[in-house]
Amino acid sequence: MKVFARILLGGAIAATLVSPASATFAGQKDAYAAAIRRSFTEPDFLYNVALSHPFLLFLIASIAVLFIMSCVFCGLAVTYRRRNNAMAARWIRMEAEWEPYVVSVLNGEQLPVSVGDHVRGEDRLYFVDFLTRFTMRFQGEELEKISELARPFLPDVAAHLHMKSAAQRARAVQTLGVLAFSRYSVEILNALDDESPLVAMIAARTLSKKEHPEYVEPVILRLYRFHQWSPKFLASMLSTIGPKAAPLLRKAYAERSNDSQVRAVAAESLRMLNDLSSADLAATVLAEEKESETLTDREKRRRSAESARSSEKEMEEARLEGFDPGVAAASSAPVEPVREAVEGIPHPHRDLIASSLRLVRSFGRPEHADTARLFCDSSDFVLREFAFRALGRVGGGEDVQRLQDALDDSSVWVALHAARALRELGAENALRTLAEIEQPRSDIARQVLAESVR
Amino acid sequence: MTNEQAWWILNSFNYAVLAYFFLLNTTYLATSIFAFVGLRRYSRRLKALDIESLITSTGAPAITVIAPAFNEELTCVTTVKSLLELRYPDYEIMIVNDGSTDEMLPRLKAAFELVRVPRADTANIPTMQIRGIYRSERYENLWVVDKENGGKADSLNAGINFCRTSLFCSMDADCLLERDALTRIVRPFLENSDTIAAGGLIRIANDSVIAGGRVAEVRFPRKWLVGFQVLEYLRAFFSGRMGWDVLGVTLVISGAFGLYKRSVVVDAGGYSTSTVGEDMELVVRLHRHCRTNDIPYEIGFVADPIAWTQAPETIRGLARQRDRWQRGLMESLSNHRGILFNPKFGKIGFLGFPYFYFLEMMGPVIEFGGYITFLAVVFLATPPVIYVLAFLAVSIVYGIVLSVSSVALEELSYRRYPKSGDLVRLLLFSIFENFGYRQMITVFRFKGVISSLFRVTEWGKADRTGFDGVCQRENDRKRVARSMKMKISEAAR
Repeated sequence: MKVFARILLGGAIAATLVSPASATFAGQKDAYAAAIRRSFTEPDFLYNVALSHPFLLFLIASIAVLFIMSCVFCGLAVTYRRRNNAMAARWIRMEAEWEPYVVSVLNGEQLPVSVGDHVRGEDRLYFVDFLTRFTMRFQGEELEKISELARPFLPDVAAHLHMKSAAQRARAVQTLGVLAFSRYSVEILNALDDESPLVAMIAARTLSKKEHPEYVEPVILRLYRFHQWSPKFLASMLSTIGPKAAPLLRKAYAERSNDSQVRAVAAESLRMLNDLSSADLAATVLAEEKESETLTDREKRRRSAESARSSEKEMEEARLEGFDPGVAAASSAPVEPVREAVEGIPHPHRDLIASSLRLVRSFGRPEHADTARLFCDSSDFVLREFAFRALGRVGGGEDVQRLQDALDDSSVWVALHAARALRELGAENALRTLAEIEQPRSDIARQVLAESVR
Repeated sequence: MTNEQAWWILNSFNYAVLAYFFLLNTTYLATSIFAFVGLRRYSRRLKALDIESLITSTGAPAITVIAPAFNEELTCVTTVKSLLELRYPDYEIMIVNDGSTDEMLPRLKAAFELVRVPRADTANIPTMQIRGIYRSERYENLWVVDKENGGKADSLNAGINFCRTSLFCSMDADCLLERDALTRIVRPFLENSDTIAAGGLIRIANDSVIAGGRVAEVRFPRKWLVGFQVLEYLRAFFSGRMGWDVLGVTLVISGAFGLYKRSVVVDAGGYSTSTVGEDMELVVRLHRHCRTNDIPYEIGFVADPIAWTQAPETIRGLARQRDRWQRGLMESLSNHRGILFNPKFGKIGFLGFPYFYFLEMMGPVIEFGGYITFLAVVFLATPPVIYVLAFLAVSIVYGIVLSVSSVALEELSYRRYPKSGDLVRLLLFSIFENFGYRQMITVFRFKGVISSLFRVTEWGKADRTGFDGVCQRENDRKRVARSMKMKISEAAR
């Protein structure tokens, strides 16, 4: 009916185009009326008008397409709503059906062998999802019972490991890891080499939770695949393996041929595992890094010179390209250059050295203080900061002057941690003196003293 | 100028307007399609990566939530309570009192037992003078920075100066974050260490039931003006932000809710205090900073972390808001116009920036002019039917297609309006917004263009009813209690 009306309207509009009487509103009205009459009485009228005005035809067709698109999107919205409501209702109904059965199996009132009677063929994957939620609440014997309940349906899940969608494969790895790790451990290990980093990460997380050293090594060997992930997140994942992973992590940390990011992650994992013996290793790594720093310094100077040249060039380019340095300066640029921008170029192995210094701070002994002192004068402010943090724990009276000097460091972070280190070494007098006078860094002293009160 | 010449110019302009509408709406349609792909991909990914395990993970980076507040005495306590209940392992809350003249600070002091403490700054972005730093005796992670009035950007900069964590979340003090909002928005930072900024989704809370600092029951707003804004937000965030994110061209992160890497923002100079669109300006500047310094970076949009906000309920309030947004957009784009078609900026320079520059920034002028000339032609002369038909097709019918598509995207993804009546309303609003509302918004944005040309810098006063007020107005405590009880039992299960 609507389509008919639209064609009719099209005809009427076409009539105004062909009718010379359309110069006035009255004329238009007559033309519309005439066109509507003709569209009823002359079967070929609309067809002929359309052929003689192709642009009009195109326009009307476009409107029709847009109208159909609106209807399609509208239909999609309603369909999604109905489908989701139906799915939710079905899910609630199935849960209500399954829950008493699963609970009775967990209580030992029923055996899991009759599971097939409770789950219809098309609901198998829903049932596995349902059981996966139970695994978060149970362990040990109960978890085994849940796995037993899932057993008949797991081949269906395993089939998803070969699906095209990475998300589907990842989900299959996750489900199999929770419900039947021992049976599908080979598949999960293979998933570490999946082309999708997401699938590989899910596999790594699954393996890390298993607390088996034989699964640790493959994960550590493939850490390079996760270079985009946050190092702290990776370290946290590896630390869930537990103390059994420590020897392999120490090996990965000590191995100089490994990527420095991988070594940094290993060091951070050792710290999270409270691995006391890694402090000696950290001292060795720090000494090695200091040795190789001479070369790094040369590189740094070269980069620094290049950077200065490119900054000048950039400013010039910015002016030429239409950036408005005046506006930017007035609006956002600080009065003095932002400290972090001028606090030196990051050390190429910044994360590795910082993680090692963290290890020294956490588990080091006074004899490790020398390795921390090696980085007190680093051109990278992050390394200076971690060096002072380490000295706060393993340093002694001879470091007080060094720490006091660091209160005037160009980086506020270094000054803050030097102040905390002074407090840890019991040299609070220096802080009190600073807190009593008005100096740019007096706030730091006051803050650190207030922290000690809390 | 002869009549013929004038007529020719008018006709040319009319066809330029048609071309503009067609281009704009086709871009929207394209981004809607990308958004559809992106949302499907993202929802599958969500199923694969368990959100709960992220919450308990010790690898979650610490976050400082910075909420600038000016005269928010009605909402501040509710907002802070809601922030204290966020499910995230390691975060600080920093409320920045931007020289409020109402009872906001005393209320905060009383509600959270604030005491004055020393705290050193960690960056030196220039701001108005800091009057004091307060810490809650009851909640260790709650801080209040009290400063002289300097505007929202200035307050955010003050918050950044006192931020000690590697990430900070900027939000409006009149917003409510969903409990898992931080856990969800931090995901891009975990998955890619090059991520420097991510934006979340903003939804409208007017008329929803707020209890205990959280949205207990989502309801579709009763006022038509707010209803239209709900639809607009859906379109802006799903079709707009999500679609552009799939293309890797995120140029806007809403000031109401975004997560940033602190060090990069500090290096870039913090928020600009000379624009009212500091959120967009910062994102554009971050692109510029990273590209010119060869810093590898990612800026993205995440569709499931949600911040609830209050939309203006009066036409005057809406007019002020849109005026301000348009001014902000124009200032941000004008200050960085060097990005336009600059090969150094890749997709940003050739796709995202031109879209915002030509279609969003100049759009209101063309659209406004188009409506005027359309009306002039219709009422003062005999219009060519093809023109009338084409105008209606590209401006009205195409607009309806886009609005309905954003409702479909909402249904595909998160379905936050559960009642069937809400869906019907959304679909009806999709049609009716094209007959009056959209034109009204064009007028407000056009006014923003004029204001920007005359260098108007005022922020515009916002009307606030307060989230507590929303709840009381509902006068439906039993319903709230029942809803909360259901949620608690759901969580317990």
